[in-house]
Amino acid sequence: MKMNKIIENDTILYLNQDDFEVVLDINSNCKVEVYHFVINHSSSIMINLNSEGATVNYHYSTINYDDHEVKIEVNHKEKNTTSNLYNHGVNVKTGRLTFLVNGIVPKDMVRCICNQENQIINISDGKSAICPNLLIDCYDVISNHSAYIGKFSLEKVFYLESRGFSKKIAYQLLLKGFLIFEGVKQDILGDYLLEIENI
Amino acid sequence: MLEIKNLSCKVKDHEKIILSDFNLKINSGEVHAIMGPNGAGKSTLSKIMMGHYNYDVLEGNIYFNDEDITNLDTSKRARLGIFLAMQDPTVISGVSNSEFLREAMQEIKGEKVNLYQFITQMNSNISDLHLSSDMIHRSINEGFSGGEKKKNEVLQLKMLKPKFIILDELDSGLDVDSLKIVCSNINEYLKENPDTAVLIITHYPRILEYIQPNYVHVLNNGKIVQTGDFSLAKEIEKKGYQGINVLGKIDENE
Repeated sequence: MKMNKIIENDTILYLNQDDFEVVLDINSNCKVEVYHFVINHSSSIMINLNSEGATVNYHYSTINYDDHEVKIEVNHKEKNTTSNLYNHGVNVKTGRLTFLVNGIVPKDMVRCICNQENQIINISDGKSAICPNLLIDCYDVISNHSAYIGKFSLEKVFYLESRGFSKKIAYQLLLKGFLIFEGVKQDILGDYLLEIENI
Repeated sequence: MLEIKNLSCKVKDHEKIILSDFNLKINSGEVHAIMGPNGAGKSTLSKIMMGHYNYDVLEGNIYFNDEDITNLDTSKRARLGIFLAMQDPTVISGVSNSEFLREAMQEIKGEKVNLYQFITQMNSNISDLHLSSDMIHRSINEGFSGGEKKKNEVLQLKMLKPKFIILDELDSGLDVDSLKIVCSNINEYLKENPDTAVLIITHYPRILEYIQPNYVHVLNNGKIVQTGDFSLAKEIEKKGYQGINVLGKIDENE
């Protein structure tokens, strides 16, 4: 389903895999929190920050089985705009999960903040890729990115096991902590929570 | 309670021997301390006792209440009542302390934990440890200071009620006041649970002034080279390991 949304007030949005093509236009000095939970699907997301003071915190979480690509692009079209992207994926089987994440700050768009944090956990031998791009054409900008692809740390698993959790339950806890962002009420997750428990 | 017999261990996928023909017996209600210089194998011993994935047992056995636990999973050792308070507790993002602790209690008890009792017990322990009440809603050890991490280990200990406690360098990262608070909480626990045994792993005797050991062992090159009482720890503080000549003893033996 294609979603085009114009936002002019502080908003919290919950999206799922049916929202595979999303365009958000944030047209005022407001803050938008997005929580996007996807099961085994590609996604294309474009966020346009069109008004000074506009802020988006985009939390994208995906459970992947086959070959899928997630493309997220943020366009800072005004000065003093902020984007924070948190993209977490779990690649369960042998498919390929790719994150293409672009933060774009054109010339003269001063005092922008453009951050992205990307992590993919490979449960088995799947291939994953992260392409974090920060296309910054302005000096007065704060911009950070991080990218991690790998397994859960064995030291974390050991810590949980040392407190009585079986390996299976320890991984479940780590998966929930990784895929469900802080502050999200579990009752809105529905099938997504069940999917985590079945990994 | 716990007995280690002729244990030899090495690092997985390496030839390096960490413990060699190691023996130790700890009875119910006893407090033992293991001291030793850097690299002696003290922290490794604690991890091996807990079944850490990075070490292979080559020979020997570990018994807990006469059950051979040498090859038992870490989680099963924990459920038997062994607790390791770690030197550098790991951060686990996204999992709150309260969710983690309640589920851990359920895993160890094997039954549901009443929410009201859990909250009451938790609040009382947090207050006893002088921890901030909001820490319970934060992710495990995330953004915690060194002292808060150590107090969180003791909070877990008090909630999970183990029978055998390993304190791996509990005093590192703790200021004097925090060390007193943490040790008085452990002493209180031992008073309430007199059968509980403790193994304290430490570089310095300071912690032993607060939790007095029945026995002090000096570990070097994966072997116990001397055993004594609290006076041995005091002597080590005064003269150093070289000064009491225990490191020389192992060299002579070799």
